[in-house]
Formats: sequence, C-alpha cells, structure tokens
Amino acid sequence: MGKPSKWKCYTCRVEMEKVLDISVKYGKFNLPKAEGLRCPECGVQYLESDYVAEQVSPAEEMLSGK
Amino acid sequence: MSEISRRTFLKGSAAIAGTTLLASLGLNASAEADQSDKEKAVSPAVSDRNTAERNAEEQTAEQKYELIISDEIAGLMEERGIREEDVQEVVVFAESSGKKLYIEGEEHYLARKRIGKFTAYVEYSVSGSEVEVLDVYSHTLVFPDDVLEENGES
Repeated sequence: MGKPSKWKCYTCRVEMEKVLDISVKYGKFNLPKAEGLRCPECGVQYLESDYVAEQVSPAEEMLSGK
Repeated sequence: MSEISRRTFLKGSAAIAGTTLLASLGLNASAEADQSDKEKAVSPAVSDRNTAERNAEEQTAEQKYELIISDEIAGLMEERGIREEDVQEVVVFAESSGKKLYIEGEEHYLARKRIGKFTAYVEYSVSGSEVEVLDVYSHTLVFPDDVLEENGES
C-alpha cells in the first residue's frame, strides 16, 4: 500500500496513493517501474510533474535519439 | 520552488536528469511486448459505462473553456510542445467525463488525456466559467495496465 497523496480520485472519492511500481512502456520496450499516483479503487494512474520533468522527459529524449 | 527557478533547475540538470530511469533502463529494458496486457477483456458493464462517457464527451466536444494562461505557463507550454488546443482537449475531457483528480475543499484539479502519441497533463483551478492553468506537462510513455488506456479513454 502506498503513501497517501493530497490528490483524490474524482470518480472514486478516495485518496490517491503514492506508488513506485507503475508499469510503463516506451514503444515496445518495458521500462523500469515508475513513481506516481494510483487510485486504490479504480487503479487509474498519474505521473507527477516533477517526476516527468526530472526523470521521464530526459529519458524519452535519449531514447528518441534527440 | 517558484516556476522560474524550477525551470532553471530543470534546464541545468537536464544532462544528469533521468539517470535513475535510464540507468535502470540499460539493465532492465526488455523488447518483449507484453501481449497479456493487450488481451485483457473489458466487461459489458464497463463497456456500457464507457460508451455513455464517450457520448457525454462527444456532446461537450464543442464546449470551450475560457483558459487563463499566464506568461509563465505559456512559456512552459512552448518549452514542452503543448498547444492551447491540447490543454482545452484535456480540460473538456476531464470536465465531461469526471476522469480527474482533485484536492479536497478546492476547485483544483489534475487531468490527463492521451492525445495522439503523447499523454498531456493539465493542473488547473476552476472559478466560475474560467479555468486557470497552473501546470502542463506530457510524456510519450504509456501505462500498459492503466484502466483509462485499456479502455481507450486516455
């Protein structure tokens, strides 16, 4: 079970949980699990702004060969 | 941390940023497509609900929100390649479907939507008919086991 977040899922009205095991893919490649938010009820997942800016975007740039 | 200082930080750290993900990627990336994720079935009840939500989305597809975008956010949008139409699309989807996050006691939301090859996120607040954009970001990664993406909603 992840840590609670300030965000709540609008559909389920429950606190989103901070998790470290979000499955992500880039094209057909399975990447390491990502950090983000998951609703414990419906399972919807979000990445947060800082994580995307600091971890995901640079990785995507390198993977795309930019 | 203010937006300006955060942007400066991000640019300055771009060369080393992503090391966690990339370092792991070098060791862990796998070319094996996970077919089982693609083959998961959607129940009829979920399918009906999704159809209703898509209809609601289509009905409000022409609805536009009055977006308030500061110079700072406009700069972020340009830097991150996110257009005003993309922001509008995310907000319309979130407001029509209810697929969004919120902060208790505030008109403060975070929404995301898959638009073409990337997922756009918009953090915003609502005041009457006005939508103030507080942050925008995007990624091309996909979530293979995410409920929205499985249902083709995001």
